[in-house]
This record gives sequence, C-alpha cells and structure tokens, in this order.
Amino acid sequence: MRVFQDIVVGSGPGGAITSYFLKKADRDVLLIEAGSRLFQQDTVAFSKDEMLRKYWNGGLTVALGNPKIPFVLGKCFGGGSEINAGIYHRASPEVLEEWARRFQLRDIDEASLNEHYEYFEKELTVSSMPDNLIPKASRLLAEGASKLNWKCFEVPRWFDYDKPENQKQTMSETFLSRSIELDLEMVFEKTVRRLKQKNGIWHVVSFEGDSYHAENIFLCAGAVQTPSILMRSGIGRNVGRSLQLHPTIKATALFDDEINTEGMGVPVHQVREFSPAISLGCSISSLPYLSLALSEFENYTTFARENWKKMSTYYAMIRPESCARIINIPFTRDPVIRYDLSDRDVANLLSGLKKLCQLLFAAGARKVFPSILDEKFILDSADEIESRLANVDRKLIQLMSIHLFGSCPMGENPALCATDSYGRVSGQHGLYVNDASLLCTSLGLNPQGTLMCFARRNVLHFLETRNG
Amino acid sequence: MLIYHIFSAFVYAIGRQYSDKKNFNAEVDFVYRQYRNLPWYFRAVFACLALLLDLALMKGLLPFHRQQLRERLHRIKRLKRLNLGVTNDFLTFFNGLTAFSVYSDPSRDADG
Repeated sequence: MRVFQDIVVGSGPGGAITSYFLKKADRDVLLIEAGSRLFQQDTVAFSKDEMLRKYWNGGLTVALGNPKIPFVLGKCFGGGSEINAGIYHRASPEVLEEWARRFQLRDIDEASLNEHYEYFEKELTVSSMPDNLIPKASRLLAEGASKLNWKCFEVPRWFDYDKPENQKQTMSETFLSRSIELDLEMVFEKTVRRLKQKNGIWHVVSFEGDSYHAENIFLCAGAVQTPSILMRSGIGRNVGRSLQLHPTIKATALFDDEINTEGMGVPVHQVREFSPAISLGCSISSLPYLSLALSEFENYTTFARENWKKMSTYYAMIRPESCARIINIPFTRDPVIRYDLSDRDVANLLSGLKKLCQLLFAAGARKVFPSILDEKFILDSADEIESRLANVDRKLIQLMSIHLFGSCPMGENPALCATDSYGRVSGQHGLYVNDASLLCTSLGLNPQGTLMCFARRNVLHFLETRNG
Repeated sequence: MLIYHIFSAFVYAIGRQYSDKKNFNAEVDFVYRQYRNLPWYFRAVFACLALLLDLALMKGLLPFHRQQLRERLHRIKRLKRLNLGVTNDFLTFFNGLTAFSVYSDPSRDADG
C-alpha cells in the first residue's frame, strides 16, 4: 500500500495552489480530480461542448427553494477557474473585520494578506483590458452609470493580454502546469466518496471503488463537494449548514446600434454604487446565451438570432442574508441543496433589477427583457419600471449564481466554524479544507481572488508549522 | 429507449419554433445528454414526468411521442398555460436547452 505524504482532492484554484506549494516543498503529493484532464484550448469558452465536458452536472445544478437557483460548478482540471470570466477582486477591509469579529478568524491583518494578494496579481497577470479591446456592451454600462451619476469601474481580470492565445490565466495554464513540471502525480475522473483514518493514515475511497492513502488530506473540492465528503465521512460539526451564494438576476437589453460581437466574452465593467448589497455588471451575451435568456419570451427567441448584435445581457447580484444547507442522501453522490431566500433578499433582488433596468434605459436601451418567467414581461421604457416590477411573484423570478462558498467556515469560534483559522478541520489530525468552503461570509464580489489568497496563506502555514 | 423517444418528440416540437431546419438530432442528443448529467433526484422526477406526460397528452390512442409535430406543439403550449410548478420546470428545461443548442451553431440551419 503506497502512502503519500499529502493527497489534495480537487484541482480548482484551492487545490491547484495547495498542490503546487506542497510539491514545491518537495513533498510526495497525489492530486485527485473528479473531472477530466482538459486544458483551456480543448473546449470553446461558454460553448455547449464546454458545458457538457467541464461543468458539474452539465451546468444544471440547482439549489431547491422558492425560487430555485441554478448554479454552475467546474468539474475539470482547473475547476472553476477554467469556466469563469476570470474576474479579480480583493476582499474589503469591512468584510475581513467582520470575519475577525464574528468568526474569531486570526492573523488576517491587511499587511499579511496583501503579500498573498500581490503574489497572485503578479503571477496571474491581473490587469485591465486594453482600451481598444473593451466591448461596446461594456462601455454602455459605464455610459448609463455616468448619466445617473453612479460609480462604475472596469474590473481587472487574470488575463495576459500580450499572449496571442490562452490569455486567461486559469489554473491549468498556470499553477497546475507548473506542478506537472515538478512531477505532480494525478488521477482523473475519480469522485471521492469518503475518508477514513486508521493508525494515523487517511484512506480515501472513491465512488469508482479505488482507494488512496496519505498522512494528510487537503479537501479542495469546492463549496458543495468538500462538505459532502466530510458529511459522508461522519465529520459534520458546522459543515454544510452555511453554504452561501450570490443570487443573481439578469436582464437582456436591445439597443439601436450594434454592441455585441462574436467572441466578445464577458464585458468588464461593474457598477458598485450600491455595493456590497447590490452590484450590477455585464454577462456572457453570445447568441446561444441570448436565446437561452429569451427562450421564455415566445416570439423573441428567433428575434434574438436576427438582432443579437444589438443585444447584450446584464446582471444584478446581491449579497444575501440567506444561506443554503447541504443534505446528503445515503449511497448517492449528488447532494441536495436547500436554499430559502428570505423576503428581504427577494426585495433586494427586485430593487437590483429595477436599478439595472433604469441603468439600461439610461444607456439607450429600446427594450429590456428581465429574467422573469412571464412572456409578457418586456419593458419598453424607464417609465414602466416601477409599476411593472412593483409586485412580482417570487415564483416567477429566474435567478442563477456562479459563486459558492462558506460551507465550512474557518476561525476559532466553535459555534460557527468547521475548521481552525488555517483550515484544519476541528478535532481531526491531518485533515484540512483549503477551498472556497472556508470563506466565512459573502464578499459581495467574485470570491476567487480571496480564495486563492487564503489557500496560499494556509498551505504556507502548514509547511512552516510542519517543518518548524 | 422510450424516454429517449419522448425527449426527442419534445425537442423536435420545440425546436421547430426556433428554426426551420428538419433535423434536430444534435439538439435531441444535447438535451438527452444533459438529462443524463442531471443529479439523480431530478433525473428520476423528469423520467417519471416524461412517461406520465406521454400518456396524459394522448390524442385518441396515440401517445404524445407518436403524434404529428403540429399537434405536439399545440399540446405543449396548452400544458404551459396550465402553469403547473414541476411541469413548468420540465418545459423550461427543454425550451432553454433546445434554444441554446439550435443557436450554438446557426450555420447548420442551412443543412435543412
């Protein structure tokens, strides 16, 4: 029986960074990934093929509740970093202060976290889009915000714009490739079922029937799978009860001029006038996504094909007070996720949608199609916003989310936290969580930058304390 | 196999709303693969619902999947107007994925 020093479960941002730093410290590491070994160039971004090959459940994962919230998770080499838009933010000082106060999270002073943030900003070439590449759909958001005197920014991304191809600095492109050069051992298409510890050795059993063994386990399988594995292994203190996501509502706008182009990707501006409670921004607006957005408007899906160059989709995202619960069903690998959106969150979402529609009309939109399950729900002018969106039945609101986190919060508060301040699972020797599950509360922003920052902080702390 | 035929019947009827092409096999394949990708609890609900609707939407002795395209579309529209929770989810699944697939490669429209 081969016993590794460390097993890392999951190759998303948390797992990629963890395995890279462990391997760099010359440790014997095995990386286990549930998805396939695919690189950036193996699928076209935001395509049908990508959906089938790189998304968990083909992108059809749903948090049950009223309304239901579909969300997407990566299931491939590089995890979420391969399928997202590469948007980068640092956590705000207010959020970190809340984590220190409520969760008693230690050692998160600005100076020590800055070192990690700066590391990734350099290594992943976090940068703004060159001015000549900024899409018109993005500029329109900025113009609308300017007319309303709202704060609007271009969001930096981990993109290397000097490269001719594979500009997005995903994990497969960066840290995983570096780990491969360091001879990282990897297995693919193995979904971890449970963990057992015997005589100081952890045994990892997969649904496919394989077993792997190590002194330390780093769970980096994402905010849904990590707590599921822990719960299936009988480790449940403060695990899976506080999964958080950013409920997002979209609206598609039709303009007079052509604003959309083939391969536009995700435009880069965000309105942060109402943040952290509500953020407004641009969404993927390729023809398939536009037609999906308009598929409930019976006569408008073919309209999208004829007018897609004049259309773009935008979103309003909230920082919610609600959180979801992960429920494992014995003998199955798909957990059920229950999310009860509070009335206040619903009101916030509708307020965000109103603001978004107002912004789009200020930017010159001729028609706005909010994502509400009612084929008659099309707005022709800003005057209609208040009356039409005043009393929308929550059942009709179509939401989605792409950010999931917080299902195993870190910190020293035993009433709230599943791990200590560095990700070690409470009461377990040699078992660590090092992914988005650790983030204590919603950032109101894309969490990947902060997740990477904490993943590096935690793995370096592990190496220091192990060697010291 | 029956589930596949029922799914195919839904996709062909819905796909006709989005495109004049005759062959929607790529869409059927996509929707069916996505159904197979669903978490088990949705897959079980969708399979039961597909079988149930195949019988509930019968015309004479013909189950839904054996009916003419126009008849199927008419029945889907009537079903949608009933606004029943889980049935709506079922139709949204077909509607959204079929539209997504049709417009993922609009050049194939020319294939007829």
